[in-house]
Amino acid sequence: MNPTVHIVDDDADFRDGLAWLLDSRGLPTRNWSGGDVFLQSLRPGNPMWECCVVLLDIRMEPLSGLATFEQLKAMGWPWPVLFLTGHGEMSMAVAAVKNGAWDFLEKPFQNNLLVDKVEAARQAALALQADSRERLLFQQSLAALSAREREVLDQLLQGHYNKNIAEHMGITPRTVEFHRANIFEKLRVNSAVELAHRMGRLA
Amino acid sequence: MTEPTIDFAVLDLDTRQLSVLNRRAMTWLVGMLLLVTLSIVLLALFLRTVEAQEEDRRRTADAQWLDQTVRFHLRRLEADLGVLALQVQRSEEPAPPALPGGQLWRSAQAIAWHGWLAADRQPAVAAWPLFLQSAAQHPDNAEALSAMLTTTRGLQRAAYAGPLPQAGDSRVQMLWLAVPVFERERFVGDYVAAIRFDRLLDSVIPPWFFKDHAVALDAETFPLAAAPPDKPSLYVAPVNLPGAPLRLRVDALDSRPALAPRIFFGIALACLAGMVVALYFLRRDTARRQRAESQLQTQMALRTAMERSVTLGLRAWNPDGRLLYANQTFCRMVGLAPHDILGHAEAMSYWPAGQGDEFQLLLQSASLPMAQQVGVEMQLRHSQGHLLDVLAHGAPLTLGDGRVIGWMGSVLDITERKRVERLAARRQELLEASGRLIAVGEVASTLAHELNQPLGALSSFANGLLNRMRAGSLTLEEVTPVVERMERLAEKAGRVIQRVNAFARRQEMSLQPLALNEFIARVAGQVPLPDGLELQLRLPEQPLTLPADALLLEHALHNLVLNATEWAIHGGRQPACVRISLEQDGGLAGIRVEDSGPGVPLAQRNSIFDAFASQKTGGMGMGLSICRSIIEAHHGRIEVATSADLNGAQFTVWLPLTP
Repeated sequence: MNPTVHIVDDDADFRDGLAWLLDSRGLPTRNWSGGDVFLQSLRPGNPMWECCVVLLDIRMEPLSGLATFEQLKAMGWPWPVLFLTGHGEMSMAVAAVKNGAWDFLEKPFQNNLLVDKVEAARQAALALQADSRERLLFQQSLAALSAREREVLDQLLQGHYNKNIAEHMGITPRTVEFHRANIFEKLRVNSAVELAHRMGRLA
Repeated sequence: MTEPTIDFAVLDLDTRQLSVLNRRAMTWLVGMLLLVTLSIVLLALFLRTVEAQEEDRRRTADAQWLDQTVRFHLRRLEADLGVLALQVQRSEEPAPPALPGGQLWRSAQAIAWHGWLAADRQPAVAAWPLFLQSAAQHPDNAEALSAMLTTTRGLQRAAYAGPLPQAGDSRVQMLWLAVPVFERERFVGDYVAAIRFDRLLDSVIPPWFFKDHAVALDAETFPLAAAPPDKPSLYVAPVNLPGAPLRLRVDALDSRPALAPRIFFGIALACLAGMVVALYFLRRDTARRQRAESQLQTQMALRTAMERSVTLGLRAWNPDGRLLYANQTFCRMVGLAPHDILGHAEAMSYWPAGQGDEFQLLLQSASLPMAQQVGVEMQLRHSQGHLLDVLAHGAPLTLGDGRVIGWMGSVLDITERKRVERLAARRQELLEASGRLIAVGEVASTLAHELNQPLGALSSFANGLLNRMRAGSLTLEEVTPVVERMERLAEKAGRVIQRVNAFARRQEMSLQPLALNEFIARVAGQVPLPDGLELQLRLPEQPLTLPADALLLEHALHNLVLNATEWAIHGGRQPACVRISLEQDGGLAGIRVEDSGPGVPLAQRNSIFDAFASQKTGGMGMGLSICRSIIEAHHGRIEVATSADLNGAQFTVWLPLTP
């Protein structure tokens, strides 16, 4: 898995130079001449909707970097977005970061630092992607629990002991023991603590 | 153009007082008239009394005169009769004796009869001469005649009888006179004469008396000296003859009173009447004068109020330039009392030096055509020292016939207006400066962005190339287009720089000969001075001229002086001072601006000319940087040091005298 770096900049020279630089460090890149062009390619279900990193120039015509970012957020874009800022646009970049952007790169930049930041963002994208796959699996497992097992799980998450659960549900502690083992096996956890942790993180 | 007039009669509120005055005057007038009337009455009474007394006196005099005259002539007659008697006795013959020369004898038949009556014939009427007998025939007469004769004998003196009516004609009254003659103490007889009384009066009383009077024997017996009331001119004059008390009745024919007192009285009356008329006119004149006076007072009050209310300072000069008048506003403006100002022809303490002659300035401004009279802006000094900006107008004081008798000047205090104008100009300047700064910022930002793009791209290409070269994963075919691209990018950056340079140098300098003395004076005059700041100019005698762009250099010098004035007031010196001096050093002219401010710390002397380095709050840090640019563009330099005697900053601009 090697996330692509999307470079969105209306200046062809700058775009190409950046691509050439990232390429020299082995990062796959793809160039876009503007925010509007990039957004048009991002319809959900499109193969583009996969693990990647976006470099957005702030000063662009006709759609500025910030406007493009707003639209991405509205679509629920999960992947890291980095801003490229010129002189006098620092405050905009900071605001964008506070608003959920990953980071910003100030022009003129030290090239290798830039590449390092992009690389970090790529790793984050990868982690995000892995995370989302784990969550998908866990939720499938949760869905596979029977109705009775769901009830026992709820009682467990409330921190009750087996004996109490049996009393509440009107079944024998032995049966509770049985359900619990099934839940642990289906959700692939080894302890109640791990179960709670995974439920909190993924459910 | 007609002068607008004010109807002061409307304003005249003094009528009540006037009517009081009128009443008082009327009282006096009535009193005066009463007095005049009284004097007339008294005068008339007095005149009447005087006239009556005069009449009375005249009557008495006339009566006495009549009495004496009649008696005088009768005495003479007595004497004559005595003489005749003697003649008759001596001659013893009846031949008529020579008549004596008395008045009575001369007049025609005054003496009706005369004759000797011897003593023996005396008592018996029958023995009397014929005429005497016929007289005695009247019933009353015999006794009277007999008594007369008896009296002469007994008393030995002449005696009179009568007047007795003549027998046969009772209208003729006869006065009888008997003069006795004694011879050796023996009575010898009487000489008797009968005098016609009317003829007697005619002959005795002179004609001038008859002209005015009618005299007759008084038969009636009304009391003496009391004239009958119906005829006041009638009176009785007694003539006392022995034996015959006569009463003469005198009727003054022309009893007109004397004219002179009446004339005097008339004149006095006329004078009094004239006085009354004069009084009336005087009264009328006084009333008119009072009205005029009260109107004048109202006018004065109004004019004084107007004069006090105006905020315009007013002064009047006589034609020689001597101040005649200054109103309150003007005195307040300059803080002087009127007596400090008025009457002087020389320059006043309120007149700051260096503005020329005030009066000449006024004459100049007043001699302009009406349409061009916009006033002269000048300065006045308050007695406490601060200066006032004023706008002055002049106008001639012209009489009705066009004669100019002086000059009038008005002065409007525009200090506040000027201050506001200066403030507005300063604000505008700041606004423009900040506008320029914003524009400069904009340019700088654009410039940064425009350069960022090619430089960033260039850097990226170079780094990418470097990374690949280090990795050794690079073919020559790959390198060429990238390096070509880098070269194009470098060129692009170069073009941006060129464009900006061209923009910045768009305004070319135009060097023209510039006279520095006038230039410095002009620039110094344009800088707004804070209150209490002293600006000194030290310019050399001989003029210095050098080629310069006046507009740019003015901007630079203005900036330096403005800085100096702003810093000077923060120093310790009182009063704060800024000095501008000009000197020559070889081929260089040095314009030096010193101030009494805190000065420039040594550490900042090099950095103060850098852009965006400002020590002032609110300063932009562009001023000195631009100054230096301008001066360097003139091939000059600027030095900063500490002022030797003012202890503040000292900036010296050195400019070459030849290009």
